[in-house]
Amino acid sequence: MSDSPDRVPRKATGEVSYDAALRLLDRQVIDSDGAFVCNVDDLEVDVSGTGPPRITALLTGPAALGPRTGGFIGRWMVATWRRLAPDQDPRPGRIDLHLIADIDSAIHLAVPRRRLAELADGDKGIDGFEQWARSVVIGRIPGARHDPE
Amino acid sequence: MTLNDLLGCDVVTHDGRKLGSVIDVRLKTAGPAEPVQVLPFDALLVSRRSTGSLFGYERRREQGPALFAHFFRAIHREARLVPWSGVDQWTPGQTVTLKAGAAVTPALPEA
Repeated sequence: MSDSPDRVPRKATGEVSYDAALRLLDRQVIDSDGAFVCNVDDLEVDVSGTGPPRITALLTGPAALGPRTGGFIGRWMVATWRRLAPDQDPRPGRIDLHLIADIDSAIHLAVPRRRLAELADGDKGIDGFEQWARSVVIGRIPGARHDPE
Repeated sequence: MTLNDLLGCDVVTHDGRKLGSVIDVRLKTAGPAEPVQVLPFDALLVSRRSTGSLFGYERRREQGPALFAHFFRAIHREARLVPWSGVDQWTPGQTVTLKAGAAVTPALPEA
């Protein structure tokens, strides 16, 4: 069962402005259980509509970090990620802004990590590559599917 | 479109004079009592250099230590704040062109 965005608990952060690169980029994202989720590698910008552009989501993963890194290493990072991705048209991990509960030195989400995929509106959330690696690579290693004896 | 398409873009005035490059984007919330849902662009921070801009010394007075603050503010002494309403055209990854008469103010607030 997936919650609508309006049912995700949120609170005001008490601030009226943020400098995007200073306060959001490269920050850690922490879920509602206090567990590390990812780092913010880029921010999605919506330029539709008549008003100013708006940040609508946090982006994470090699597809977001590669273009920022630039040069050969950046291109290699994206190409490798694209080659290993299970989807034909893979997209970077995306966390909608409405899932943010608070912003301080880290970005705190209002939901646990395990619910990100179901709240990602048909996307694979941030765990697409990890899920693929777990089932196709790690899961085939003998002994990987049970606790150590 | 992502933020990376804007950071580093050259900022030029309507008559073609280069002010610097975009080093950051100031976003505003709906208000201090409102949760974050979307963050519209409010202003661009523009400087001729990007070195050390992620420390934020060129835009906040309260940050120390004083030696670092003095050093980085000297590097970014020409850092400017341009309201997004003063932007005429944005070519992602390349250039931001300002409108004639766009309000360009120092990025560091008055003491």
